[in-house]
Parts: sequence; C-alpha cells; structure tokens
Amino acid sequence: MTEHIVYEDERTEAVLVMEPKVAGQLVIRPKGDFPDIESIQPEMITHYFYVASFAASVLFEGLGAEATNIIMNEGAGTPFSITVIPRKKDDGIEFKWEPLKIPEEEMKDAQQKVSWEFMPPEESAPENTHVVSQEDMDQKTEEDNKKEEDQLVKWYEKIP
Amino acid sequence: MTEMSPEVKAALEEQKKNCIFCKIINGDMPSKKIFEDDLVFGVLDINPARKGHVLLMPKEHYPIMPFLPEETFRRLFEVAQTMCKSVKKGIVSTGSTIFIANGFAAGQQSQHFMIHIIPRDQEDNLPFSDLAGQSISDIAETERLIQHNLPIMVENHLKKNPADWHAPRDLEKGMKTSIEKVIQIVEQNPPLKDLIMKEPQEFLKQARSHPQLKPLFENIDPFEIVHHFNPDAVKTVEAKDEGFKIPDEEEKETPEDIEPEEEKSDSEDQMKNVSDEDADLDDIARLFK
Repeated sequence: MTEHIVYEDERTEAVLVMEPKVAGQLVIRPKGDFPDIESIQPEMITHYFYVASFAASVLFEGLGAEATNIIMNEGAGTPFSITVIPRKKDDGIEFKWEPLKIPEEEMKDAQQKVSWEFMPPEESAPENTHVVSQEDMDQKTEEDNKKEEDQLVKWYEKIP
Repeated sequence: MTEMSPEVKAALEEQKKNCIFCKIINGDMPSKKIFEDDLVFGVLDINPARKGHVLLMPKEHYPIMPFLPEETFRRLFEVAQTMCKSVKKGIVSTGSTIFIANGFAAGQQSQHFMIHIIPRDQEDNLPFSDLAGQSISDIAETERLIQHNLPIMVENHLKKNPADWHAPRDLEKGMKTSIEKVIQIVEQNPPLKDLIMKEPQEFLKQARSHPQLKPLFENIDPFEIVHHFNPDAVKTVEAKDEGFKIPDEEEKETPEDIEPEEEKSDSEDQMKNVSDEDADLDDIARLFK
C-alpha cells in the first residue's frame, strides 16, 4: 500500500494513517530504527514533538478538530512513534483508564524509585534539585503519625 | 509558540487562581513530587493508570500545548525523555507512553497543560496502544491540506532554531528546482513534449486536472512549462491566471502518489532521488502512451 507522507525531513517522516480512529490521524516517526526512547538523541525527541505539535495545529485550524491527542509509545514491543489524533466532542473515542487505588506505601515506593532513577541521590544537589525536601519529610512524619494513630484507634475498637 | 493577546493573558491569570496544579507547584497543596527545576515540575498522578504514572508540566500556567514558549517546550520534552527511562527502570517495565490531551474534547481534565508519562508492558490493557480503526480511502483533501501546511510550519520553526542535521530549505528556491525538474521530465518524455508543442491548451488542461499530473503542478504554473518549450504558443493559449477554468475532475483512475519534490544535499540522498525520479518518469510516460 502506498504511504501517504505529509511531511519529511532528514530525520523525520509524518504519515497519514490509512486505518485510523479518525480521518486525519497521523504518525510521526524517526527515520531509522529506534526500538526505544533511550536510543534517540534528546534533541531529536524535541523535534519529533514539535512536528507533532504543528501537526496538531494543522488538524485544529485546517480540519476543524476541536482538540487533539498526542500519544507516544515506545518499548514493550513497539518502536518509538508519535500518533496525533484529531478529536471532536462525542466522537466516541475515549482514552480513559480506571484509576488504580494504590496504597500510600506503594505510592511512596514509586516516588522514591522513580525520582532516584531520574536523579540518583548522591548526584543530587542540595538546592532546587532535591528529591525529597525537608518539607516532604515533615509531611511524611505527620502522615505516618496520623496513620499510626488511626491504626491504634482501629485496634482499640476491636477490643470488646 | 502562539502569541497571547492581553485578553487571553487576563483570562489565564483568572484560571491560575483556581488551578490545583499551580497550588501544588507553589507548595500550597501536598503532592508526591518527582522532579522540579526552574521551568518544569513532575509529580505522581493520584489517579494513576499504573504505579509510577507521572504528570509532567510547565511550572507556568498554560492551558494548551501551542501556548508553551520555546524554552519551556524544549525543556519539558528533554525531561520527559529521561522521565520515560526513569519510570521504566524504577517500576521495572518494558516500555512507556506519553499521553497528551490538548483540549476538552480530547479528554483534558485540567486547565494546566501537562503530559502523562506511564510505564507500560505488553499485556497491561491500557488504551494507548491500539490506535487503529476503520480503513479509509478518500483522504486526498486532508493529505493535500497537511502536506501544504505542515512543512511550512516546521521549516519556519527550523529557520528560527537551526539544527546541525538539517539543511535549510528555501521554499522559493524549492519551487525553481521543481520547474527545472518538470522541464527535465518533459525532455525525457517525447509524447509529453509533443503534446506541449502541438496542443498546449490540452496540456494545460491535463496539468490542472489530471489526478496524476495535478500534484506535480501544485507549486508551479504549467503555463511556465509551455512558455519554456513553446514560447510561440503563449499567444494562442489563455494567459496565466486569466479566466482559466479548472475542468471538472474525472477521477476514473486511483490517483497514485508522486513524491514531493525535494532538495537533497548528500550523495546518498541524491541517489535515492534518482530512483524516485525514475518512478515519476515512468508514471508520466505511461500517461501519454
């Protein structure tokens, strides 16, 4: 099947999707094989999102879209690509998820793991790049105290 | 990217007062902060699709993506790339998704623009991977519209922000190259040249209406081609843009793609270009047999 290329430069191509959710949906992909986001130069990531953003503006101004979704997928078996989807009210498309109820402990665990991956604690500067601020620590202790208290209350309630 | 009028600025100031995320950024509301610098702020989503779901946003209040200034846009996506790596490593996942809702109809729930960064695995059943729908056939109009506007917008952006991998393309110069290329195509196609010499009017008609020829003359006036090969015919054919009516399109054939003309710089690209050109020539030659 012929590809419908709507934009092309040395590193990028934007192609109209022939089996879209909505007509006008397009995919922006790097030229070359990039299995995941790590293998792409940071400068190019920004460029791909610029192309996506301009494409969104064209769909908005030229095709009468009321809104747009921009979705990047990478890894998990999918090579890096960005999809732009023109949207209208009541178009029957939904990108909704059932919010998970994650216990506080797990949330704290996620916070620590992700921020440490982002900036390992030994590298983090004390000013403005802090991973966990003193304020956060205070808050945690307060929360923890409250939790302990709640736990105690529950225990007492169980006592006949 | 978009200039804000004073009215818009005033409306934004009003929005900011009630914006939960502005409060979180200012520290007036508690959050699970992941990252902060002078322009960008990242927190864990309290309604996550998966554990490790991060919201990354500009610290300044902008309602939609086109309002982001260059520097903020750049920083946001630089941080986003590292954040994708971090959620994957931190939560032990094989992939990630960046999800952006630009506008209410796309599911945007907050007036503070933000991007969702979500760790992904193949079997997680989140709605971001299956983006296919019904097959469509007639997108010629849409294609033309995007093909016309998107390159201009990106090229203008790259002109303001030169990139060392990109050879700037002058749209004016690009047009000249196209004329030369069309002349070359005609030279190599005697039947086509014949048509221009003997029936210039018919050539003009074809150039403006035939589904395969039309894209070739999107940026150039076929009249110039006639002028090049058959200057005498200028007197007999209708003058450029004067009452020339575009005949009704008879789309009996499926329009095939003709590669957009492009200036290529390095030799590898030039080689590729030659084969593209051959394909074009074949198409055109077939038309006039």
